Amino acid sequence: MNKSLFNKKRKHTAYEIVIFVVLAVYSLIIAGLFIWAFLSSFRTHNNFRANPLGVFTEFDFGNYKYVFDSLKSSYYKGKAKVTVGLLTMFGNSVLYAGGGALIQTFFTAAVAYCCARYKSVISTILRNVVIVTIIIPVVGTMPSLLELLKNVNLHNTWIGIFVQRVTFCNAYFLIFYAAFEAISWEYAESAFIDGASHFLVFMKIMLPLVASLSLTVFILLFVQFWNDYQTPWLLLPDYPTAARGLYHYLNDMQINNVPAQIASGVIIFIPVFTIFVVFRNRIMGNLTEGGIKG
Amino acid sequence: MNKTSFLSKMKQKGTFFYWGIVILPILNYLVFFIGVNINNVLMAFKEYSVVNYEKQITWVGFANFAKIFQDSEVLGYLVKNSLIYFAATLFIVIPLTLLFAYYIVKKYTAHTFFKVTIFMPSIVCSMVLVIFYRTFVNEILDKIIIQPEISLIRKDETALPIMLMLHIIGGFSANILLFLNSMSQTSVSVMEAACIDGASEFRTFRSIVLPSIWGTIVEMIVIAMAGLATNQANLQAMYGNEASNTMRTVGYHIFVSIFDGGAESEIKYAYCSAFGLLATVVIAPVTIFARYLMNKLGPSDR
Repeated sequence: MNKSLFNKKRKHTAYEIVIFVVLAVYSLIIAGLFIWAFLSSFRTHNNFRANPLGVFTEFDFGNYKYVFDSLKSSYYKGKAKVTVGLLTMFGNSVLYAGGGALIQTFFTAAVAYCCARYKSVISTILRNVVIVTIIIPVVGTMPSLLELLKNVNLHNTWIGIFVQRVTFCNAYFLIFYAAFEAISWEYAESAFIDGASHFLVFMKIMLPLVASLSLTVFILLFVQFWNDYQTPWLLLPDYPTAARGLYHYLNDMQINNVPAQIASGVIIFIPVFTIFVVFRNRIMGNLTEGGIKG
Repeated sequence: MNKTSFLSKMKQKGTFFYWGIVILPILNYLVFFIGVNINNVLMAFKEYSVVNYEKQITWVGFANFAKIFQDSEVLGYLVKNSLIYFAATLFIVIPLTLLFAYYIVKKYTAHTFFKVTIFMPSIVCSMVLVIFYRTFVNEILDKIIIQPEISLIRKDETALPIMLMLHIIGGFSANILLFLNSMSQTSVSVMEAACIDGASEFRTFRSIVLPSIWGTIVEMIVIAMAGLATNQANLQAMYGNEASNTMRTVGYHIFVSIFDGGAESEIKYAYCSAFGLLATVVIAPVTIFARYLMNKLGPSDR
């Protein structure tokens, strides 16, 4: 954006002032809520009860130790009750979010590449299938999916989860499609003349050219899957993830210690917050329908 | 090797590569989209029961659909609440997000900070956001500021506005990225020319920015319409499976109904399928027609 036009000293418009005030209030609420909650997680229950707003009156890591010891999730294997701790749930979350995001990113990019660079009737059909699938809202298919997975013995298995991620029907397909279409095919032709296979051209030339976009899509999917507690709850009941564990911790265990409740939320939030801080520019500025940016 | 033979061989290898890549995703689509949806339609006309520890499936015609209409009062709440959340998205979230995105794109004061705070809720697990929000309502609003007899989150008259506020706060972040990306592709030179020609802020926005991002706005509205039957409005995170009927949305009701007979039970599956099918039959044509109308009647970027 042209800085001379938008950043030079000028008279502030009414729009700018009004939106600034609205955004300032909104940001104050969001930032205030997060900072207040974070600082409250370091207070004892009694101290918090005495004055919920007195955030600087105590600094104690006891809630985190308590949550680390008590945040557990249980499920039944036959008649035996199995309980897993926070570390196992984190492991399941990493596998669920990381594995799912990796597979979905790769196949979305790969199919988009095929459709963008190998023009055929099938490519046109696949592209239209994506558009139609995105546009038409289909509701309430979870029972049907559950039944299907149970019938083919894929329910409650990692394979059952990962097989579902071998998909291309999502909005990222269109972004990858535009990105691959914008890349000159001369790179591929030169590589073919040098003896490279189609697979090698895709893996060694084309995919690295959209590496930045791929990483952004991977991060966004990772965050989405990390935060999802409902799908693993239904489809992967014996492998509780951290988000699902948090849900059961707060709803089933009746924890009255409010700062400990907040601390449990902070623990689950830390990994995605770290990712957000490290990759914030990539996440918030690298995704365009026109292709590759930055 | 002559050129024709080389090209023919490469084309053949390209076909192998192409099918090698697309075959698995196509199979996935056939099984997990087409198959699941066909099965969903069939399930809507079945009934699941357990007799002598054996699962029994019987065809019941439209009985599952009839069950949906049996409790018309609950159905009324579901439709009304879903429409309220949709209206909040359509008339508050989307327009304000649009104005916020324009502010950020024009790099006005503190735009980077605002960009982060708007986007922040979308990276937070709904459970975490709900813990923070619930604590704020319970401990600050309930005990210090308003001091009602019953918690604002539990009282029927106030629970919906409280949840609606959370929906709006979180809603900006879901849309801001798409609007920002869409707006960043608007031609700067055209905006510059308008500015030099003395066009006002409103005129630039209405005549240049709005037409160029109209497609994105339409998609946002379409997604919001689709959300009429899927939006759970953080109710699960806030109330577990126990939200009162007066607060429920269609999306939440369908999801928690799966657990009505116990998490492993399939007794309510058919009812959920019927509800989902009914919602799809009502919403899908309306969504497609609305999209068609908005694209036809919306501003052109030429």
